[in-house]
Amino acid sequence: MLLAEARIARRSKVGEGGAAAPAKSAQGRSLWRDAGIRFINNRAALASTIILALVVLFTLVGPFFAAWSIEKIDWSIIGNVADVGGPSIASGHYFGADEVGRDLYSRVIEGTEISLAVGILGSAVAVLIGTLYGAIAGYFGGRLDSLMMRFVDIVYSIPFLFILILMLIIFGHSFVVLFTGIGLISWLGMARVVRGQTLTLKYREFVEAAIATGVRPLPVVFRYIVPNLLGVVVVYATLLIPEIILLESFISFLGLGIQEPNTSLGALIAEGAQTMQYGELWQLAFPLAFFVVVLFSFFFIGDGLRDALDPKDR
Amino acid sequence: MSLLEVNGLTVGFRMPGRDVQVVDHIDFAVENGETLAIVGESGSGKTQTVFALIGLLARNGFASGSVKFDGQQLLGLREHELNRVRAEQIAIIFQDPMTSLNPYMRVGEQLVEVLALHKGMNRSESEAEAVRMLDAVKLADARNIFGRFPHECSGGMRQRIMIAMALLCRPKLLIADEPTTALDVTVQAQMLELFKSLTAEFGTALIMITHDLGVVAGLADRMLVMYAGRIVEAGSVDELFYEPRHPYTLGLLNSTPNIAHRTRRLNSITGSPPNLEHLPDGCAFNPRCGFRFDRCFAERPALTPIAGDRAKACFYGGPLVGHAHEAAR
Amino acid sequence: MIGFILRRLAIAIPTLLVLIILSFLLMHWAPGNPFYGDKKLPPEVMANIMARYGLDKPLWQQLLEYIWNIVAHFDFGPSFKYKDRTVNEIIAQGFPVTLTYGFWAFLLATSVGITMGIVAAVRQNSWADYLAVGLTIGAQVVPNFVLAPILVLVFTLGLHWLPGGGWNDGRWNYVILPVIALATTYMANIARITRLSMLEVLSSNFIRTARAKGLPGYQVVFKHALKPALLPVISYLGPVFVGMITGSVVVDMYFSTGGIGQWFVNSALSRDYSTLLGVTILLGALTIGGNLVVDVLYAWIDPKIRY
Repeated sequence: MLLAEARIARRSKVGEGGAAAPAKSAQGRSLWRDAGIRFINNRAALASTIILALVVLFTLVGPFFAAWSIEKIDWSIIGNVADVGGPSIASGHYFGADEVGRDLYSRVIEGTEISLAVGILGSAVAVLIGTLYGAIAGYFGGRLDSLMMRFVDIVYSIPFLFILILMLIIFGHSFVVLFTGIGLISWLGMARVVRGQTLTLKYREFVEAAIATGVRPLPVVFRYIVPNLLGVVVVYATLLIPEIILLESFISFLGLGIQEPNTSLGALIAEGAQTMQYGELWQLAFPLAFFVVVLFSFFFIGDGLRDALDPKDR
Repeated sequence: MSLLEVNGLTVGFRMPGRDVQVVDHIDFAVENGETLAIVGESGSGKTQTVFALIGLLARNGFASGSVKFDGQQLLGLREHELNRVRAEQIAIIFQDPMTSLNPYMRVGEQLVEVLALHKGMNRSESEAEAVRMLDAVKLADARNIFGRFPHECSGGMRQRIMIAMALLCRPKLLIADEPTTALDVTVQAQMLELFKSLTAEFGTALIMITHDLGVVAGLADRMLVMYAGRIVEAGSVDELFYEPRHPYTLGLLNSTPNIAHRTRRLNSITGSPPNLEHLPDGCAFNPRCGFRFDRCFAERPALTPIAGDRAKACFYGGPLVGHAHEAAR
Repeated sequence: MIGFILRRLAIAIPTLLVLIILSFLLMHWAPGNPFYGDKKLPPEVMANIMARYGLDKPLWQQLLEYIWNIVAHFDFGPSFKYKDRTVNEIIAQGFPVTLTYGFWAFLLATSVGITMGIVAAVRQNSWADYLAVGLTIGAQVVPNFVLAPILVLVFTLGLHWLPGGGWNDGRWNYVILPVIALATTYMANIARITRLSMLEVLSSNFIRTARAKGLPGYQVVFKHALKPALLPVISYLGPVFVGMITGSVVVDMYFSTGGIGQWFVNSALSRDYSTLLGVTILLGALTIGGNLVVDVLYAWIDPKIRY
């Protein structure tokens, strides 16, 4: 995915003349547009993008239709949730109610928002730190690179999940600790990928040309290398989001995640799984459905982006 | 009976929504022991032609027509029957020695398995024979190379290993797909010498695919010129070099820089290689031809014999050699 | 090759040390105290307790003694919560359980996953291919803490085929559900990676050479393509190992197997710091060891890596 090469290619097309058979219009198409077209042609990816957008829309608009808040308890159904707590338009519990009598519709909306936020923000943090770290290590190479990657290797080997869980238990489950922990774990993979890609890029001719014309190292990194990393980074980031959501769900399942009354899809699923045996399947079904749809969408979008930006069979 | 008789061979690929034809009904033959060169630009169909012979087309490729080797029809053979022809009767050397050997297996193992499979040799016999063949391709220290991995060998060494591997079963026909393109010039010369001596020593027929006319001149008896999936001219190397009858052949010959004549500009054939999905009406070469006239836009010239096994696919009847400078505008 | 292994070991040991030190320090900076609940104890009692557990010594001394105990005597010290048990005893009780179903889950995930992947790649666009791809996608979004209750719902409450929990000394019918719950997601991922990797390898030039040599199909796939195709899978085995260790926490909690994972969560919630520390270090060491094995396997297949 090379912006610079695209620009060079477009310029050289102008000089071509001759009595060749009429070709397509001489206006060059940028590689990004080609990728965009390929992405749109990927039906799964396109459908997923639309679906994801609809889900986000739902979380924004849905609360206006909610009859109950996320923490208000419906005393009329307590103790009898299995019979009267099911989904119904009449009672205002569109998705049903949970074991304690709270409205599932609002809680699912809240859970989806939080899960998406954690996923996207977490991925953004990982991208930011990981990209900078990896690009600098890869570009400057030598001992700096060795040192930086040694650090990554060692940290990577430490089962950070355990440290994270420890941290959450010991320092309490605040949003900050959760975020710090997730961020600490996630940026490593991104750094490795970015470093690898930087190593390939830095020996490309257009980078050599930039250096030869006197561009200083840091501007080379930011103006030439980083824009061309975007492809790999975007794909990885998109695939990282569902991983982070899964991670957060797991932590919530253990009871260490988001604090009440806030909730996440993971916490909702954990609660729902426990009441399955009473037949209150809606408590698992709705959050699980949203969970699955969100994850699937991100997977297909990520795959679609990867195919669009780096197709194997052209 | 010729060793290899190809009639009406057509090769195409199934793409989403359409089929693309890359070789269009070609006929040619190869005799025992002779060296045939197939010449043409990238995309002319030369590689796909030979791939079709031994069933090496990609998954979405298909071939039709007739390919008779030693009297046996090869097209349509099942995979396990083809496997008996491959390596034993027809062997192929690919263009890029860097990626054509399995990087995860030692060189010796890749050689030995051919002998074990096709000749039923046991370990020590096959090792001995493989080392003998590595010697025959002039590889120094054959024993040592046996235990190496491909990435521990140079490009020239790897190509020699490929050649040795191809000749292990003494096939009657050897196909070399641009074997020197990926190597430097000095190694090229050695490689061609090697081909010459080996084909003489083992009596192997050779199909040499190349876009380098120097290679053709030094090695081949006969040659085919291909353009846009069709044969445009065929004959002995001498005949085509001294008396080309197709403007494309002339263009190729003129494009070869001559170190004795210093010029300001290099000759080239104007225009660009054709898009196989949108070939022009009539002769596929007409956009770039300096000798075209009305008929060339209306009809497609068929490959017609001129004298002996000489053939051309062109309507222009006049002499070409005198108009060298016109074709190269 | 030996040099490679030694170099990897040289990195693994400091990593383990960092883990131990980090965890130890985290433990000591944590608020809360395992020895009393809401009631405050008289200071002399506190002093006695601290002395008994060696908590009155300076921090660095505690750390060094702790590490020395582990290295020299393999002794993780006494449990803070269970007054008459040592951490070693707790580990000895829970670890074999986790090891058993963990081993089987790993075996299941790799063998079935790799086979599915190979079949799907070799028989591209057949029903086997579509089935494998469909299953993989499905299994990827169902995390084990969702799968476990579903399995129980179906097999225990619904069909009454298998018990829904407990360990019963590792009888086979108690092992099945935990193994399936643990293995499924990884089996799916392994199948996906194998399939993609095999497809890529099968389209490479050296495979074309192998076919041109007249090698029969099974030789091309298993002798030439399999090793390089497995490389990404082997890289993935590291995360599989780690994932299964963390996943065992879920399995333990759901199926009440009494494995190490359960002890991890319990000791964390009850502030039994010494047990928590011991279990963390054990699981961490396993992770590091697992990664080491994966690295060595990778280098064994790919001769270019053995620098």
